[in-house]
Amino acid sequence: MRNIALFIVVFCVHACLFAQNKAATYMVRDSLTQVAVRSCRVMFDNKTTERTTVTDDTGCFNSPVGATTVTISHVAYEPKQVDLRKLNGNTIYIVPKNVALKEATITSTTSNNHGSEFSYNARQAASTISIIGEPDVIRHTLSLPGTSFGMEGTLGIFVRGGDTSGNGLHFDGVPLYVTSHLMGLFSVIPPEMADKADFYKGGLPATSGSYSSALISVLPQNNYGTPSTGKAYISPYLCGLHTSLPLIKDKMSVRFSARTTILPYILNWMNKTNDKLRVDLYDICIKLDYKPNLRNTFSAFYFHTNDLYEYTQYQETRNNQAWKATATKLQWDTKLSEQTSFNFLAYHTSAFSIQETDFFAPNSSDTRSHVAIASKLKEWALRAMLTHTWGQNVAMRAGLSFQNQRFTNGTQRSITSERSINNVQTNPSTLGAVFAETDLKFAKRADLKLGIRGIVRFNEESLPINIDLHALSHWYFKPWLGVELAYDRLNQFHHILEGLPTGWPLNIRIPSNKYFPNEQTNQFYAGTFIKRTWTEDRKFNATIGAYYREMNNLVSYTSPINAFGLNTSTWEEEATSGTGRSFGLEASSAIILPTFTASLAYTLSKTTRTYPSINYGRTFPYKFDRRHILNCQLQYAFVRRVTRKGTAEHNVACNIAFASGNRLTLPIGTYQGISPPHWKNLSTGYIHPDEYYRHIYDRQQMSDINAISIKNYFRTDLAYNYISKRRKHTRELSLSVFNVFNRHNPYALFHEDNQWKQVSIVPIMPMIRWSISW
Amino acid sequence: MKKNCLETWLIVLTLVGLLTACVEEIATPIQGQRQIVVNCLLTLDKVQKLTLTYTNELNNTAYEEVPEAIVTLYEFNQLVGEFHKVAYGEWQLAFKPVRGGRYTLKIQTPNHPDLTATTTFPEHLPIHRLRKEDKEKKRAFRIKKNTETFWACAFFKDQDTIMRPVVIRPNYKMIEDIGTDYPRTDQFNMQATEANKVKLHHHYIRMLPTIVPTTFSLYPLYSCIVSFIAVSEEYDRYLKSSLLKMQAYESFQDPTQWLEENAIYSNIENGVGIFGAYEETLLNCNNSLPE
Repeated sequence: MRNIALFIVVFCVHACLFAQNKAATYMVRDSLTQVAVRSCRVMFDNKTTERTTVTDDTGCFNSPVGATTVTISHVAYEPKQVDLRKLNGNTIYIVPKNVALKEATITSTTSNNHGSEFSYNARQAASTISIIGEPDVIRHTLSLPGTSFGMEGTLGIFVRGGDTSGNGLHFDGVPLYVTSHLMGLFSVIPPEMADKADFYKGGLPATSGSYSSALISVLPQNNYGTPSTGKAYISPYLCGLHTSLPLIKDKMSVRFSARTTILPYILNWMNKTNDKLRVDLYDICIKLDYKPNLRNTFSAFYFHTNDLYEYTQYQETRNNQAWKATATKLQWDTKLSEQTSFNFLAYHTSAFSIQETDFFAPNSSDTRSHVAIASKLKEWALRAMLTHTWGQNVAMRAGLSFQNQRFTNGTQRSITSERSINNVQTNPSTLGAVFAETDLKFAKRADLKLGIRGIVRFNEESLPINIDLHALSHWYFKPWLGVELAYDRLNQFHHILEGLPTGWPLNIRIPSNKYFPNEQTNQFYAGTFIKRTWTEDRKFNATIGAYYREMNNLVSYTSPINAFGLNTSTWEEEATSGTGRSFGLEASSAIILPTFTASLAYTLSKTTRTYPSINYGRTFPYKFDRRHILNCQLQYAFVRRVTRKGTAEHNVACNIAFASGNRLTLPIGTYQGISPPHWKNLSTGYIHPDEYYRHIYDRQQMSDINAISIKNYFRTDLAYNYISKRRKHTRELSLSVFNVFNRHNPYALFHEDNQWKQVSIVPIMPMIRWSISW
Repeated sequence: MKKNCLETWLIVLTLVGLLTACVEEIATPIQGQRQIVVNCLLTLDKVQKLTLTYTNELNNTAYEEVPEAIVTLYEFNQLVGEFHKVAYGEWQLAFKPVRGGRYTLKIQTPNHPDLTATTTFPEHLPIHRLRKEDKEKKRAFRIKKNTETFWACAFFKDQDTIMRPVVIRPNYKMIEDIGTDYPRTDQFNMQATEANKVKLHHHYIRMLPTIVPTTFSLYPLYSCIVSFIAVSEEYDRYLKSSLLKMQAYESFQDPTQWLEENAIYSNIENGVGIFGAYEETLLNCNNSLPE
């Protein structure tokens, strides 16, 4: 008996030893986000022949036979030593370092992508040269495949044939419904707060919803008591300040960002007339992060953006256009266990826009009458989400959300001391959703993300359940070569009646209803990708794929006369519902070398629309159906040297953009009309342009809707950056020229004085920007 | 609000400094194909009129007539008559439509697909002027439940006159800016140019259907003729789109004209123009004399 027991003990010990001596695969994950961490340095104890290795793209590494202890180190994480014998499971969690990374010169112009999702940061977004020389994380999406632009230089972004209004913009998890400053010239997101941006064209997350085209999610980094950093910058259009300050060391930090414009002060100084121009343009962002212990983190966020443009004509009129948005958020993340975490999010977001005119009494500046059109949206929401991982290969997120919205639109016309004409409509909308999303990994051969979101809109009598579906899969033939498949079904429960295609903030926002039901999109994508990494600064990636998208219940103005803002309170009279279809080919490639980066994006696509009340119900090309779109970005650091005081870098960048022209409806003839009733009884004495009188008895024969394609669009931008890094601060000087060849890319054509003419919006635009960061 | 777009553009252009829109001449981008134009508005007159011409190149208003055509009118798919040519491009048919009637126009021309169009003659507008004066010694109008859009305009008279029947004389001038407290109006032509006109419509008021009887006033009305026009849906859309088009070109140097792409409504299949119907109700509004 004793021998049997001894045998059993020896066998068990041997088995344990054998188990220790067998090679095994381990995964390294971020302890807060559960995301696999690649490129960790893994050092094994002296008992093994192999001393070190590096975790791969999936965060995995193989431990050799005999390894008992490993030390994991990564520049962004706290080093960790792990006894593999005592490890429960195969996952090692490492804690992010409480040290803000010093800003490094990243010459990369590329985004991390497989075809449907793109991730980038503000520094990468700066590779897209803008009119005003400011880095813009939203504008950068226009350089990616599958996106078309509206009016030149503005932020009308049309993804795979969808409207700009179908895009969701989330800033730190909060939806923003005002996206741009200065009539669409640059976005409201301060680049210093945009540490990471995710652009989803497909495989959208199920954790949020109510958008029908694409999602741009911008996330500021969480800082917990990190050393203070800051940046100040100035350009002819903008000046700004950003700073991050520790409140409690290693536990709490606050980040602050503010931007405003000095241009109106310059203009008013130059103005010698009695007319006055007033501009208030600013945005403010405050983020507070608190980590009391390793398990819990809290975050508070506040954002406000404001645009006001007021022009006062002396003793005549005062015209005012204004829009603003505010977003606030409270968030709590807690780790329930090594595998499970809980997230709670509460936010409030609002957007307001107004166009108004005050008429003065004769020979005075006292207001005699007032006209205004305004649109307001208020939304608050709650969301609770659980995340759980099973080993290395399965992760799941599931939760509930509740969203309450209040849409208010109205017009007002008043004369002093008289009763005004008010027409205000307030429409509530309440959405409840249940969602679940899972990530599955099949060794290193494939991964699959599946998401489902069930939404109920409580304001409808029948309480229909609408389903969002998302599927994104990758199949790897080799670690660097694979296939991507994606399917998305999306529902959007509000409509934005789009005026000008600039990311126009004066659009009217309305909830879906029984006459204009929720917009629906079904989309398929299939493509291949190559992602080759030799070192951190030597990479190559390429994608090519095709998509097909169907859109239902799209809402549009019946008449384009509403482009500059709704002229009537009866918006239902002006709107119509229809369908859209888009399909195309997308290709992109990017190469990163130590001093040179290049990226290329090409889209070949066709997009149409069909509305019963437009073009006699016949299908017509979408206005921004640009058959070909090509974007090329190059950046080269031609001098990078170490000086006595620090380092200096000079780099140049070049953007080349080519696109087929946008589409127009043009007059092609004249025909006899019927004059309005009793027109001959009109009073005389008024003088109008000749074209006005022609339209009394004659009519313009118009082409089919968007039947005419304008001349191709071509533009070249150049930029030069000088970066001087000292011990305590970094200075950067940027000189850029938008449209360096001053090409007159036409946006519109019109007929005047018996001559056809074209309108080009943006000429050559040089810009300068200086910044200092510490 | 449209008229203030000039100021809006000035703000935009000033703000961005160098961002000035560039306008330059180009060659003609497109030529249109000639199409047949039909214009016919049915009324309660005994004779119906129709014009039949061709389209022309842009801004050339010397229209060529369609020389040969067979133009027939159907009521509830029953043939009621054939138009006859009476002048250059003008055709007539002795026929009086009925309210609520469904009419189809068919035009056959050599070497061209048939042109067709349909319309429904509107019902009589149940509107009248109240006899009793309000506190301001004005007499309002009252309309019973009405499911169709209708239009209103008014004409100044020099003095009170008693008319039977009521007619609009050539010297009566249309009120340039007219207002109302009717609860549902289309504000598309409320373009204020002066402080006192922000609540007024330009020339016409397009009044939307009301499901309940409604009492309303028009102003400023002194001694005048008021016209209420019941329109078919097709003529309503044609009239509104025509006025919208005119408005776009009302101001000198309004840059929004560069982006104007409005299409005039047409219900002519294989052609352009309008086939519609309307009935006008004229009310003589005197200050002191009886109507």
